[in-house]
Amino acid sequence: MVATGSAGLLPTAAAATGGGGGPSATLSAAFHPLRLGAATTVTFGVKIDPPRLTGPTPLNEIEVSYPNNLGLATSGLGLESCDPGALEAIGRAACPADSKMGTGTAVVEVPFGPTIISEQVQLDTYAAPSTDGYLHLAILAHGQEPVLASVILTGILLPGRLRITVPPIASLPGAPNIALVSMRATLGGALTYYERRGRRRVAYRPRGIGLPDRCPRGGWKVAARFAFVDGLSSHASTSIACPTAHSKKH
Amino acid sequence: MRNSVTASGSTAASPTRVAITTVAIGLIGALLRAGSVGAQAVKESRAHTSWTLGVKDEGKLAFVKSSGSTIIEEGPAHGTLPGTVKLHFVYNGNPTVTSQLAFHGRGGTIQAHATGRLSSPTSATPSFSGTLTITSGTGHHHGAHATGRRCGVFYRRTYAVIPQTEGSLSY
Repeated sequence: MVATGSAGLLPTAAAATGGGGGPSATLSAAFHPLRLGAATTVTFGVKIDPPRLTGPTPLNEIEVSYPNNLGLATSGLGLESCDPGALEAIGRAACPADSKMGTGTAVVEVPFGPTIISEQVQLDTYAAPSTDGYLHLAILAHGQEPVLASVILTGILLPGRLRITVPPIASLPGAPNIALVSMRATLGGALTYYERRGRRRVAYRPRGIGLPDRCPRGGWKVAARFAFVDGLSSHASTSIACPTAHSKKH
Repeated sequence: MRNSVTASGSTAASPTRVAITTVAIGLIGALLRAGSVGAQAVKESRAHTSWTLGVKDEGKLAFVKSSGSTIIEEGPAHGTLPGTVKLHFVYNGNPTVTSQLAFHGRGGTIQAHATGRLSSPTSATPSFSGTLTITSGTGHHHGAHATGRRCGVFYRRTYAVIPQTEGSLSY
């Protein structure tokens, strides 16, 4: 269900670093398929190791950076927008099909008295309305057990960076907020969009994220910065290996 | 199809008496350039006169290929300067999109650079508006320079771009 480290995200290399005084974090990333000049899906995986003494610390921001020439903005994803308020209140049904950009899973830790319980969460990423010309995202995080809750994470697609803001997620009164410990999110993939052809509404699969024609020496560098509510931060980086000769686009 | 031509010219001496003649020569020169005939006449008149040609063109470009955040488009241009246009359109998430443009007409080529602001990024057909600057030219367009207004629509489903250019081309 949940990817931790690089499992299931080959080809990639996961690297863990601290930095900024925050807990150790691991980042993994992958393109599938991996063909130069072709459309692909991109998957990011993050894992945060909670400090043993203090327990998990809630995040308030994740920023993933990647090569500037990756075709996220030209992907054909997010042709409509979904209102974050409606998404939180109504759920997935509030969003047009053409606003969906990806899916994912996460694990959060919920403090229940002296014990900490893990909860698996489903992620659905949608394009959100934009007032500044940048592509905005609304990520629905929906958990069912032990706590039934839906939370909206917001994101913004900047050149070469995806910044996700995590709101405070309350648990029990007086208890620490819920903390994210791992997440795997995919942009693109098996999405169904619709277009009008004459009077017919025809389903199609959006093209996906465009890979450049050339792979940089050493592969595509991907990094992440995690900012925690206690003011500490962590960094992690990885790279996605260039395709081998037989997998390159002909 | 949009097609408007305006032209004006001026001599270095520019006495009032020759002003009408100059404008007439300018108009003829512009039409010759647009029609790509009478190259010799254009060369002769260029020796004495600078030209300003009002340009209004629209391209209907189709997706050729993409490389990451760069989309390559090609197609016909109609209007004052008919020909074909090849466009490298770059959109990397910044609402300011850029493009390199190569125009091939019967009278020569024009290379240009354009920047524009993209509106409504979550629309299926966001529009953009900005400026265009000519960087070089060949043939009749050798030495051409201009700044103009460039706008258009980017069709995110098909990756087609419909650019429109309006401005003054000076020689």
